[in-house]
Amino acid sequence: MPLSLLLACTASTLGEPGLVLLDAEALDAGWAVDVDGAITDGALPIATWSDEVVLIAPDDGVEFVELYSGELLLVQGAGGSLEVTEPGVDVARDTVFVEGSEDAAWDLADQVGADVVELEGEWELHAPDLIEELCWAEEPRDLRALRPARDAEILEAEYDRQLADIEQQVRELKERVFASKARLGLLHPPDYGASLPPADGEEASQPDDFGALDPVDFVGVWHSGDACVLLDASGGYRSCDFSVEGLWSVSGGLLMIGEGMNAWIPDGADLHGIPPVCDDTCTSMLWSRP
Amino acid sequence: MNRRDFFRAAGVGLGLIGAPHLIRDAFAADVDPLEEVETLSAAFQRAHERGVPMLVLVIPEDPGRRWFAGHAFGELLMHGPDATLARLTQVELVCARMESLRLLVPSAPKGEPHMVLVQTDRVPAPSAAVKVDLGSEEAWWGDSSGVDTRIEAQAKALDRLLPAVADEGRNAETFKARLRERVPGSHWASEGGCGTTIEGVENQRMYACGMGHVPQRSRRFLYFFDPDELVY
Repeated sequence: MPLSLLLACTASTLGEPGLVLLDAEALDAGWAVDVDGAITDGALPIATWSDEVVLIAPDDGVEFVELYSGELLLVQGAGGSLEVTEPGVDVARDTVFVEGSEDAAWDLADQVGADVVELEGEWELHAPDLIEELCWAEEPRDLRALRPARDAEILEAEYDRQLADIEQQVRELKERVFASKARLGLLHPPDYGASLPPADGEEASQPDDFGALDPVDFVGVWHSGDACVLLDASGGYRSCDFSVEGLWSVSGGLLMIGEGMNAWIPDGADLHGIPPVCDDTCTSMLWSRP
Repeated sequence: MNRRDFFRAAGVGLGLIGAPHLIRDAFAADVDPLEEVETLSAAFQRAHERGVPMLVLVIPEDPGRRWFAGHAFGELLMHGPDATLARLTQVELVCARMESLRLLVPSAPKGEPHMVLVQTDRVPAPSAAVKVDLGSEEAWWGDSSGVDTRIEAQAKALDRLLPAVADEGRNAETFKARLRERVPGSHWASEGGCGTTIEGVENQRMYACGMGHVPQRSRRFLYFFDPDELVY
């Protein structure tokens, strides 16, 4: 670690520093930062308590940039495009993406106590105040650059996680609703009028939403060798010997059977274009209608 | 759970599903229940593909009433008014006992109605009973006066339930042409005063002389028994 940086870091009593981060293209092009007379061109964030950052261009030209405490200056691209951001507002304070080797990512994570998530060839680090903590780390040899996470990326990742959780909860609720309805006999339409077309001005009842597949396509008796199962038109199933029964539905492209969520997509000639999905645990279960 | 575990669990779960013949043991011996459910299942899917409801002509559990109901259905299908027969082009017909129907459609009405209309566009599938007063069974045998009453009662119930169809005459003819084929779940049969012939079944003729005069419009009827078993 350059002595100037070490001195800068130990001077944290001066208050929150400003930070400078160069992206991979800027580093490759030769951009660097002059901190108190010491020039650094590393991939880690650079902390400075000066109100002014001195950037060294590839042609050795000098550029002075005003930077306030708590701001993060991003130097981007071969042309050195500048963007002043505020961690926690414009970019995530707790998350950065590592461009470089896996060893470099884990090395950094170990130094700052961060969690690591692999994301298609790059690594996402999570830790409180991570972007500032990385200023004090020793740069791993195979680190190419760091990329701050934009808040939109964080929100999107969180959205995906929450959506997956909600979908799982919906599946579980559907199972429970079906089970409750079955127990209470509410799967039975009450009377003759239930199947009459709606009167003028009356809103037609909507079918339950089971997902993209049409559950009606699955109603009936299915065979596979000696096995036989009946999927009834009220969302219940039973084996042909009545030894197993429960609920079924379709969701997310799968036929879901039973509270244990055992699932299969029956394979056969009349499956309405649904591709068979099976692995070596169920290749013998080729289901077809009589 | 990843996909591999998912299907492994499926394999374990489905390993519990037993042989199809066992379902037969849960029913009376005269009708193969699995075959009946499969017939219903196929009719349900045909109806779904056509975008029409499935109309189940209910086979009574009581053998005596089976004869009566089979003849009543025959009278309607063979000699019903055009307006009603035209409407029947807009349903998928099938015959089954309520016990089998309830396996496929647990929401089916209670009791043993004359017919059940099952919607095939959604799950759970709504169903509705078509109740018809066919009059006294005792008064039927040998008496032609009740034929009109039975046809009218059945037609009235269906006309109330099924939407009208344009070009009734042509559609009624279309429907009658289909009656050369079996109504799934039954056999067509015909009888005079001294025997019954089941259509499409060789080496069978059941003689039951003495049952009296069979009205002309009652002679072709739906036979709800196993053709291999003689029924007098």
